[in-house]
Amino acid sequence: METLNIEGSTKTPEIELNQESGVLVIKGRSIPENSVAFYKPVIDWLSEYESNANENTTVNIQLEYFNTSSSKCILDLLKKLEAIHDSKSAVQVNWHYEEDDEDMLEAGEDYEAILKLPFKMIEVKEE
Amino acid sequence: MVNTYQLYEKMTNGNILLSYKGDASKDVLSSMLDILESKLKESDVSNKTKKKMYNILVECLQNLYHHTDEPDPTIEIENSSAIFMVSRQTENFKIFTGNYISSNDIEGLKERIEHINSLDLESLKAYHKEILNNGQISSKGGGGLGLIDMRRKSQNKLNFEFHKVDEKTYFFTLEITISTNY
Repeated sequence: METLNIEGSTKTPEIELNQESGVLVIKGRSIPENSVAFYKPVIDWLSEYESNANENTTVNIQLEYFNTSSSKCILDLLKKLEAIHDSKSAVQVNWHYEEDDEDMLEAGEDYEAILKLPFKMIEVKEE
Repeated sequence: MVNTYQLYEKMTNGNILLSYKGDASKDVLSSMLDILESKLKESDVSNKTKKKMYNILVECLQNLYHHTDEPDPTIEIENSSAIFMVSRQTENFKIFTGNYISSNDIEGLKERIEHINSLDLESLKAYHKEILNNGQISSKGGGGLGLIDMRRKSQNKLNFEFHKVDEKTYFFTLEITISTNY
């Protein structure tokens, strides 16, 4: 499977989905006007990954900001991973938040409460 | 003719950071977001406040954009532009938005905001989870998550009004207060 690489922009995050390593990275800002269109290649890649999943999958989410339409897409992509968790791959979500950013921590906890996936909350120092 | 100096004084006394009336196109809204981000960066408030402000600004501006992007065909106002304003007082930032809305939509919107305002922060967290998990998302937006997010992040009630323009059209205004002391 080919690695999906999307360069980050002022409104969209950097994406790197690597089947070989099983490491999926979403990093930066996610505030596009049309989140569904932006996340479509990610959802498509994950659909293919379902049948080619690595034994271990690590999801690193490190977002500075995300809008509410992205929040729905992020839930959708995590649900894709929830579907393969345990049966095909051991999935681990690392949710990064900047120190003092309680809203971002809470957003991670909201996902953790909805999904049956192991979450690790990781505090990062502000730049 | 409006006296420019009087207008300038008014904006200065009202501590207006930015004020805009016109078409809510993608480019214009992005530019305003950039301007406000740099103003926030320079301001003396905490990073936490800056983040809250930025997040709420994004939701407000994208709400306006989605109204302009696909205008309601029942609205027959010729120049259906929007208003957007941000002010800074000692204790609070305030964000004001206004846009035309079809009279068919006001009941639903009013009920939604009143419901969101009636919830305490704990219930709001549960409500957000419910909408996030079960709500429908359109290609345009987060299916009602924006208003919940504004209320949660600001921890203040959303002030709103509907002004009747004609039988079919109302002007919807929203005012959000964000404390500078996070």
